[in-house]
Amino acid sequence: MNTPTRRLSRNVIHPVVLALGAALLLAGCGTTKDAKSRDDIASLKTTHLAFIDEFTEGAGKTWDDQKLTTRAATMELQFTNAEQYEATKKKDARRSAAISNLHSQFKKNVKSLESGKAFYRPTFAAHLKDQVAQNYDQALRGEDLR
Amino acid sequence: MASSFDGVLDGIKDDSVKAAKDQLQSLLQQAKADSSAFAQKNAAALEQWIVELSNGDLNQDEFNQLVDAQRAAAEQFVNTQAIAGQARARELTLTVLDIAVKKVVPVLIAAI
Repeated sequence: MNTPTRRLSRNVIHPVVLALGAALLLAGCGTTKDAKSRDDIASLKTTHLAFIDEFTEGAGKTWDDQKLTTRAATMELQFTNAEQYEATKKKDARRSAAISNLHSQFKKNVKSLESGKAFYRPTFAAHLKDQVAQNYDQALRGEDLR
Repeated sequence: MASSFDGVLDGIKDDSVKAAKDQLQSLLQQAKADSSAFAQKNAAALEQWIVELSNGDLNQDEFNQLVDAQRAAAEQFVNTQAIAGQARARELTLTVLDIAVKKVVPVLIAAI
């Protein structure tokens, strides 16, 4: 017998099916908040800005190739760790691109110091820090928008 | 800063870049009036660097590195915008940089 109750049960999506659909939709988005990823970017920002400070002209500073190599290697390791963490999770193209952009910026900074074998001049360093900070801030904003 | 910047551009007498100068000034004005603090700040920074390049406070290599860094930040910025706003964000950041670096600054450097 086709009672109103039976008709309703046929027409309304079962709650379990609805929940499964929602879960699949969320998983398919591929852009999810991740506190560790955000912390990694924030930590990279602090270290990168300190790196620029360290290689800016200042009283009593003398150029040391080895120091640059050591500091760059430390920061490279930090980037590698952040990238490896991303690689262990479900692929998030936007986050990977953001970290790759930041890493590329750092490599350019190292390359310019290696080739110039001289500290950054203060005016330039101040401008560079502004730009690098903005880059990280946009990456962090991307994390916050997820 | 704007008046110094305008003075630097006025000092470029090469007619072949007049259209590029006008386009650069127009886009910089739009960027500085935009609701995005990022676009405003970048436009002001680019003007400042061009003035500093012209008076020798920045050398060409430093200027190029700053432009590279701003381009990287701008790409990051564009990627955080909603699809509908990406074209405008790109125009007020990356396009401005391209016009400055490819068309106007080379003539400025040649004249220094």
